[in-house]
Amino acid sequence: MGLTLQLYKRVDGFALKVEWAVEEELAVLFGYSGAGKSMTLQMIAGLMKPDQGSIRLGGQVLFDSRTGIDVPPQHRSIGYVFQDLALFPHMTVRGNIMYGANGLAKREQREKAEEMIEIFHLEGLPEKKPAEISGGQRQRVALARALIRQPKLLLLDEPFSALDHPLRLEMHQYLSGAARRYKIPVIMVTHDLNEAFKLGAKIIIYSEGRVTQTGAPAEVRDNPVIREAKKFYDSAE
Amino acid sequence: MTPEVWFSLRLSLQVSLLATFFIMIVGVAAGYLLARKNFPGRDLVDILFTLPLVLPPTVTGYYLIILFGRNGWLGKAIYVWTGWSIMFTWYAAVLASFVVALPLMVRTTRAAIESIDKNLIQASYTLGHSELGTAWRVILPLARKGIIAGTVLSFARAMGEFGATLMIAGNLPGKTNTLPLTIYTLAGSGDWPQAQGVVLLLTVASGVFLYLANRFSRRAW
Repeated sequence: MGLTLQLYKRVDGFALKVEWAVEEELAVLFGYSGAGKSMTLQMIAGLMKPDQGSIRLGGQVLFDSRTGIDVPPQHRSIGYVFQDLALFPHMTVRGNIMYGANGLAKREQREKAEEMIEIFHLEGLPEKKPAEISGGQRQRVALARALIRQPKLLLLDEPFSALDHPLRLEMHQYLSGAARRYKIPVIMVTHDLNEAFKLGAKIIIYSEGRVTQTGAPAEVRDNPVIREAKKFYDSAE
Repeated sequence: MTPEVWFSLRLSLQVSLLATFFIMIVGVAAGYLLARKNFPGRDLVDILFTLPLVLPPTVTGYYLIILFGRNGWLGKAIYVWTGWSIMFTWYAAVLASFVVALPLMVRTTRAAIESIDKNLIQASYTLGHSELGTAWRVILPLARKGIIAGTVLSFARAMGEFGATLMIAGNLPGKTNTLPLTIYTLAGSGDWPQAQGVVLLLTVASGVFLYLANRFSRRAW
């Protein structure tokens, strides 16, 4: 009941051609910037249309270029945490979270939002605007908003890149907790090697629009992209 | 101020408010479509909605006569059907103000919508909201500063409309003589003290409107 995809897309001289599958686990897309990781997320979410290929989530076909199926993003039931979080600046924290519970009755939205506020420790903040809370709190609001509808898949596009180290660790715990709680595939884009190895049950390595290797952290340790990144980390320390 | 001037002031406010009301509806819709949609003829529509801003109002008035005159393309049909013509009524003044001031609303709304972070719109889609729902709850609220500024500017422009109004509504005392037309009449008849009073009134009012427009387009959340 995981996610299976085959994607081909050409834009401005860059070609993405990937094929991979994940189960209900936390998978990390790792690679240099410009390798096509964010583009992959956008296509999974239905925000960008592949030229060819197919996307299947838990038995449902979300996209298939041969049959012409292309489920709009509104109906894909996918939680998406954007790199800049994309919190609505004109809504309160509660408003943002409730906005994710579209389709439910107002009262139910409110109850669910309270639940999320508790899970993500946002007590005392519901009436504040995103500009009035800290970076870590904003991350939690974005996660709560993406998960309130209990999506079938969670996508995160370098969500923690703006946080300093201790906050990152804290967010890792929230994310692992969420992955366990909701039992859905979670796909996170990162180019932080430590983060990839710490969180990923599976690591999918991107390089110039291709997947060069897929496997558990122990299996991909000797991949050239990983070695290169490790060299960079070691020299930085 | 004489009763005639009071009449002109009341008429100008009435005409401008009504014109602004229609401008808000049409201008926001047009600004939204131009900012968010790609459709054939988009550039042409853009030019059509901008032309009244750069054309002399008399030229705009001339086109309005061709369209709405008793023998005009639309005007003739309306006259045959209802026996009524908009020409030389205060509705014609509303029409003139509407057409001349509309570009200000379209352009400010469009710019405001185009400056919204695309991720916010995409986030709304992934959260299950339709395009219409997103427009209503995300795009328009975030563009509201631009919309308010456009409204104030349009109203100010409508208050000052002269050329096109003269062409299609005339300068009928007690009927279609808005403030700018009254200034023209007063100056023409050598009544300088009265003219001066009205000129000052319009200048101060326009200054206040510009101040408001600036304030709204700057104000943060």
